[in-house]
Amino acid sequence: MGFWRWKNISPIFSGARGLIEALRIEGVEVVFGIPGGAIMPVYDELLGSPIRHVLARHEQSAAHMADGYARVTGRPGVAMATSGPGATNLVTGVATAYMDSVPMVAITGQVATRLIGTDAFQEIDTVGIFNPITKYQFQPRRPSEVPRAVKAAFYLTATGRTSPVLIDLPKDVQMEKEEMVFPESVDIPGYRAEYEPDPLHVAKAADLLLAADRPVLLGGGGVIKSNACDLLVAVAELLNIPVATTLMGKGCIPENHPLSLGPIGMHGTYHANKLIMESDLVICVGARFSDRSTMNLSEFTKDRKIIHFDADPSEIGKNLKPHHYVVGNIRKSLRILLEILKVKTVKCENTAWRGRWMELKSEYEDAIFGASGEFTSPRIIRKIRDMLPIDAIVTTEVGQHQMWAELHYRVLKPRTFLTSGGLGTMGFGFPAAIGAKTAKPWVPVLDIAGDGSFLMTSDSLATSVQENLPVIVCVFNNSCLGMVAQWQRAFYGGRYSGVWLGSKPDFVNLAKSYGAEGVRVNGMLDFERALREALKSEVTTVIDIPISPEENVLPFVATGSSLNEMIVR
Amino acid sequence: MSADESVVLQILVEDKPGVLFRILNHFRRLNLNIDAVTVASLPGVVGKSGITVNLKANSEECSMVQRMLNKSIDVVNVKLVRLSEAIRRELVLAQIKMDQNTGFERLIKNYGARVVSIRGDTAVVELTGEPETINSFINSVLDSGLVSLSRTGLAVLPFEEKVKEFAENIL
Ligand SMILES: Cc1ncc(C[n+]2csc(CCOP(=O)(O)OP(=O)(O)O)c2C)c(N)n1
Ligand SMILES: [Mg+2]
Repeated sequence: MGFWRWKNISPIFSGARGLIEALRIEGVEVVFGIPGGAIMPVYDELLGSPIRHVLARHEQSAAHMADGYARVTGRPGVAMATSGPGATNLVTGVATAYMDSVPMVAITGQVATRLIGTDAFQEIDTVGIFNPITKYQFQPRRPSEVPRAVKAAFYLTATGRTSPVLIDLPKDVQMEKEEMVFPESVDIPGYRAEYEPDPLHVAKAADLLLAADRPVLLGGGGVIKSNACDLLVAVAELLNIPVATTLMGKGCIPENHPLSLGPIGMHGTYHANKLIMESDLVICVGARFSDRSTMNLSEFTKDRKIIHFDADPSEIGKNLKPHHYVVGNIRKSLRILLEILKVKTVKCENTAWRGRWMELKSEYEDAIFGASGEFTSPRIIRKIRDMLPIDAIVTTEVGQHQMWAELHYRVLKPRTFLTSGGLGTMGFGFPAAIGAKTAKPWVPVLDIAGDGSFLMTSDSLATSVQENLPVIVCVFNNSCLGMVAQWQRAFYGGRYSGVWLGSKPDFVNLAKSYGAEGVRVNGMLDFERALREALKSEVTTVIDIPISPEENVLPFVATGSSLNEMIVR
Repeated sequence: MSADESVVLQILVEDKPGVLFRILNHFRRLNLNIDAVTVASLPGVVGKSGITVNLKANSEECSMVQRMLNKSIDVVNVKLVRLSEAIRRELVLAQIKMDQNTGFERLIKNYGARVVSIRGDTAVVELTGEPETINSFINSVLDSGLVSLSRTGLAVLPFEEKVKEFAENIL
């Protein structure tokens, strides 16, 4: 239902009705949420609308679901909660999306305007709380302000550096009726949605690139967000230069592509970390040089030129001072770069650098450092890749299993690998998988989980069963908070503190108690059989995979070390 | 890290509730201590306000906070003004008991202050000047008859050609 419906008339609607109509105008098909007193008028209006409501079991999960939906579609996800505890429960989910620049509109109920500031029941300063974790916050004070707030929220969340936006809607504003106009667009004086790349800046980047002896392309999440992966790959192929990624950029080049090095960083691949430190030029596209990616920053910038392409001008020079930069829409920037390069160059021949990276890559690409035995996490993750179709979506929780996924799960298409890179939120993967499944019910969705993380949002099993959104959860069950345990082994003399998950539930029975499937596997054949069944199952399947609590994720760059100083055993 | 310097940020913002909170929250996040902040509507500019923030910060902190401000949706533009490059003025109103200040007349004259109101033996005096002048004036009346005072914080007007735009400031 489009905008045309309210184009030439100004209907008299309640704020709640206005909200729902405005959401429909924005093309919203699904909202994830939990109702409560302060948002009941909106829930009542939802009933009559074609918008699907997916009932979460915790608002944090509702936000992760909206996040997963947004990451796979590129369209804003919508999460909804009541005032007070509903809003505060949303915080972690919204912050997770904020740190990974995911478009999302969070809608919260609020107490009636006359009660705001009185510490009324379930009143909390939602706008104040969400200010640091959203791009903007709206609190319409009249029903007639609702359509503009929604239009502006969707505009802000989905343009420029995408990011969550909050709409906090007081209950009286939801209930009162007023004449309202549904605007076609909004004007926000302080906001520039997009910067046009300066062709001269791009040309200089091209010159620097062509003059380099040992160039590496570094693709970040921004390449995926701006749907520019094909262009990045085209640039790499034209010049025959290797492409490394950040964790968020994983998938911007198919990871089985001969030019793909995989991710750099604390748990980057051996050859990506080595090569980037041997390069004389890094063209970083749509990444923010986070500490987890660059590790020791002065080593990272020593002896090499850095060129930074970013959509967000405030990223330039934030973490490091580049030798040259291009601000602007990444797709447009890369298109210009490609055109300039095509004019200036013929396809590159073999060089010493090409020889070097091919050698390192072929030597280490299949290396599984530290893993001894057939049924180890890296091998299980490679098996998962082998068994999933290329467009299957994989999410992760946070911990060792996530880093194994970073290292060993080869992403073949953009928007098929969802992980909480910026905030590192345990409990993200499972609800995000459900959100992804909502968007693409026809593709298999699998969460690579840790036992600790899964327990944080396992109540979403209820949602997945009730809403008929079957996903697969592979619990890498080491009976501990493995990542923390690994650090305690590495940096605290093996003194384990607070990491053993002693009395945890039996995941098989846990799944079954929700009406989902559960299966425990021992050995690779067993796992293959279980995954094959799970792929056919009509309900969510939890595959419990007991693994050793002592396994380390390797290679590993310790904080403060340079990327090429990797611990490999 | 460079040394702290007294700087002023002139921030043009949308004039509506919540804006000052969002702006100042950035300074709070960076643990910057603000010396003075003023907000004023601008003649001829509808729907916008000017916020002037005076603080001591090093150049890394300045570029960080400018970065955040530029990103803020409410902010139309930000100018960093180095105080050495601008005209600076502050205004103070001081209530002074004249009988306890034997040199009252001379004081007023020395500073070029103006008596704006007198009630009984108490006068309210107004003085405009550079912050150093205001400080020195306050020091001279502190122990001799000062009852209360109110100062505005800094207003600055840079010579336009000396203002650096955001991009130049950070790179
Ligand atoms: C919400 C949250 N709390 C705490 C942490 C700190 N943390 C990082 S990894 C980790 C352990 C994760 O355990 P598990 O999910 O079992 O994964 P494993 O490392 O064992 O594979 C913890 C506690 C976090 N990232 N997120
Ligand atoms: Mg674990």
